[in-house]
Amino acid sequence: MQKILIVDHERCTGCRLCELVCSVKNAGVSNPSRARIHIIKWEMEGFELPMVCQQCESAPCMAVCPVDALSRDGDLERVVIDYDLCIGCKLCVVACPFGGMGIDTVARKVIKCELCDGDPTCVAFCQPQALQYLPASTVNLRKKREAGLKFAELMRKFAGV
Amino acid sequence: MALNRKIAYIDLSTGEVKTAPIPVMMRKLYLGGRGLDIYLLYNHLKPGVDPLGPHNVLLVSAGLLAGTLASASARSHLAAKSPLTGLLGSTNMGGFFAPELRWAGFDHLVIKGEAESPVYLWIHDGEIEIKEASHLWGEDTFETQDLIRQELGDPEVKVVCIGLAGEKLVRFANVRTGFKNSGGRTGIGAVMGSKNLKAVAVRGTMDIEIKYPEEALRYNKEVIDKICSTKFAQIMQRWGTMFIYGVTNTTGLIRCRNFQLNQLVGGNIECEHIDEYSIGTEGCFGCTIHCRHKYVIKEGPYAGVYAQGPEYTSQGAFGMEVGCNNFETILAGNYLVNKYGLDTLETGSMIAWAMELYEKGILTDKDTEGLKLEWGNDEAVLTMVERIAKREGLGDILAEGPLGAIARIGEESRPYCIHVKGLSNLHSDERPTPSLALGIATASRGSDHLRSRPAIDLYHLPERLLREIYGYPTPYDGPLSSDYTVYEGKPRQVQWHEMCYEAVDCLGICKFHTIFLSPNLLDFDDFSKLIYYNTGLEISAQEIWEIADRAYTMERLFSIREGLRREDDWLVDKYFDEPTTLGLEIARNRRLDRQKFKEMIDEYYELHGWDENGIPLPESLKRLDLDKEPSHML
Amino acid sequence: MNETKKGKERLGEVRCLNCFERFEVAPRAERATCPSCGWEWRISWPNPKLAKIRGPVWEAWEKRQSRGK
Repeated sequence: MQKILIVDHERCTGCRLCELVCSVKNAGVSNPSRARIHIIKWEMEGFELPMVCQQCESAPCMAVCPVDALSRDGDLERVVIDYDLCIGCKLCVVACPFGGMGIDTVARKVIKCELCDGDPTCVAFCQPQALQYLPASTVNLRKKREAGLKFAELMRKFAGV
Repeated sequence: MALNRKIAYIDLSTGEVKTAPIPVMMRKLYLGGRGLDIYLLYNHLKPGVDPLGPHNVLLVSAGLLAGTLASASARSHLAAKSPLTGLLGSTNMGGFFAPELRWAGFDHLVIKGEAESPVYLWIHDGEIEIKEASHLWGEDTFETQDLIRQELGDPEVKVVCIGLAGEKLVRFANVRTGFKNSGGRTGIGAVMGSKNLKAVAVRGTMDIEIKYPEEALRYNKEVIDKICSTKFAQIMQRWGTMFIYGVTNTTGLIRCRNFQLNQLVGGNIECEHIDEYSIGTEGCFGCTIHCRHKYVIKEGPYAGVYAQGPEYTSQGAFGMEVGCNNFETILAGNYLVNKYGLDTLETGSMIAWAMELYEKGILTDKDTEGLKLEWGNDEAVLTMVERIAKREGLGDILAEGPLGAIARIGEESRPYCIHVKGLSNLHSDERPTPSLALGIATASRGSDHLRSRPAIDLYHLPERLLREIYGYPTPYDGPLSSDYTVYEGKPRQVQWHEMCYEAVDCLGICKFHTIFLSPNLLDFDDFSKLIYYNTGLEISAQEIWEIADRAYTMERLFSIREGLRREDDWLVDKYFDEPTTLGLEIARNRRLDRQKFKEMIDEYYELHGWDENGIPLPESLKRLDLDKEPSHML
Repeated sequence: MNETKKGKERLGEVRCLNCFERFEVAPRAERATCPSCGWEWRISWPNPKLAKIRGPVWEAWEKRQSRGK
């Protein structure tokens, strides 16, 4: 069963630990500008949103790449970069509607989330579980359960359970 | 290298900026953060200067491990001579400023002089600029940060700034970063205000190298799992520091109506109330406890306002201390002190004191301009916050802090002012708890619960466990007691926590992740490993203790140089003369014994290697490599 | 105490603030009385598995105080 990385913004506390562990795992240093996930904040409104590559089925980055350096890996349901083919034109950075493709200015290459080869480090460290790596077919069930919880609480009061 | 870090020297009078590397040798002596800041303060500041004049020196730093894999590795430290106490000014701050400062290439800033007109510092990837800030003068701490980010065109810029209170030189003005984080104690905000320094803005995209990435990741996970599995963390994650009230108010360890009562009977301001207002929780950098709430005030003049917090201190400042029993007042008060940039603890204490003076007729309606400063008058409390920030009427007097305000109001006000060395006490009532009392009497910046509070003393832990904790990393064979009402063994407990919190302030990790409120959290061995995996420096638990001892002793030397004497390590008479009257049996009818307290202080000095006047002995200075200070190595 | 063992994982344990004895609280309970000393407490739940004393039951508290204990 294929898994996908799913974000729950309501649980995100904005701690940015995901950015830190991502940059350490992938680049060996602490430097969020070299991370593949970022927490976008609207501080005055108190809103935090983890933003990361959505591993699109019909990825715009794949469509625009002139040398086919981007391809879809069906096993892990992710879009991967072949750095042997990549010429660094950065059209993929322009094409991605989510900012999922970034530029590592130290390593001088485009970077994106590749799910840490099936064991996403950010997910392992996210204590509030704002980042989860779940089977795609059941991803929405947790949301349904949580939304239904309030209803369940109400029914419990009425039924005296 | 994680150790390839820079220090910047900025002279606001001349505009000169110099940078230099920080030698590894200084790390081995002081680590960084608070430790290195006290070294810099002691060496760069001449004794006897006016804290609000151009010769005061302001230190801003990030902890050694800020921005690395060390649990909540988020904290900055600021230091200067305090305008409130005239002694050590030292404050810690969470949020996201420290990691950003380090990604920008700097660990320490030494700021001297005074700008001719308001300025802010703009630090980005190795560069430092001094920019115009006249257009920001007068803005509150939320707007200031937002305006700077807009001006610089980057929403990721982190800012530490002052609000109106700092500009008006309120002696307990704080510094603020993010929506809620503050460096509250000792009036560092006023020091910034006196230098015309409105803010320091940073943005960094440089690497901080992690020496052993795989091991650091693995160990950080272990540390985080250990922390999150504790009961303490699970409660903090849900309700923040306000949970402490559930224990302390029930027991009778709270100061209510200034110092008249030791419990708020019928209290209806428990932490659980935040659930009705909360829209989620937030945390500092790297922190999995995320202890602060995002909330929206529902009713009253501040309805619709969004704010974050509140902390236990605000619960006391706008609750018990001022006789208020209304959760919305706490929410509103917390918002106001953050907006104006005021120390919430000092603000609450000053207002509570003024209320008692009003009750006793020492302050009259003429002094308060008709404002009824009566216990429980929520509106008057919130109005006073504004008047203090703006230095209007009575607010101008209270803005001077305990020592200054006593001088202006008169000696009859002195017995009612609850402070040590000019810094107000936390709203806890330490009469039943000698260890906590000793902690605030001797803390290096004045009355303070964050320098050395042995909070786990309240848990009646078995002696076996106490021996494990307090006998490491340096040996201790003296008495220890599970009973928090006795005096035996308490000096050691206070000393141990002093060293622990000093170490953690040097590293830039949050104290709540250490053996502060739970015995199952991080200790010196963990600090040693975190330092090793992240920086490669091999510093044992014993060596960390020695570094903490060195830094703490230097704080003592600094304050002695500025006039600290043994008699300042004491508490106001009420602690000894008036017993508690409320609470559970263990806390009722308790007061401190002068002779036993004096003996605790003697033992405390002895443990530190200080003489009977609290002055470090020559052999202690030699042992800690402090005998040649000031040494001007950095 | 066999009934508590059955649903043991879902019960919270608290430490009485008066006598320091530990006792178990029924799941989702809002009040509990210490079986050792009889003091009444209000209970809250940081999460479904962890109980915490919220504070005294103030009416019971005031009765005790007026009785002089």
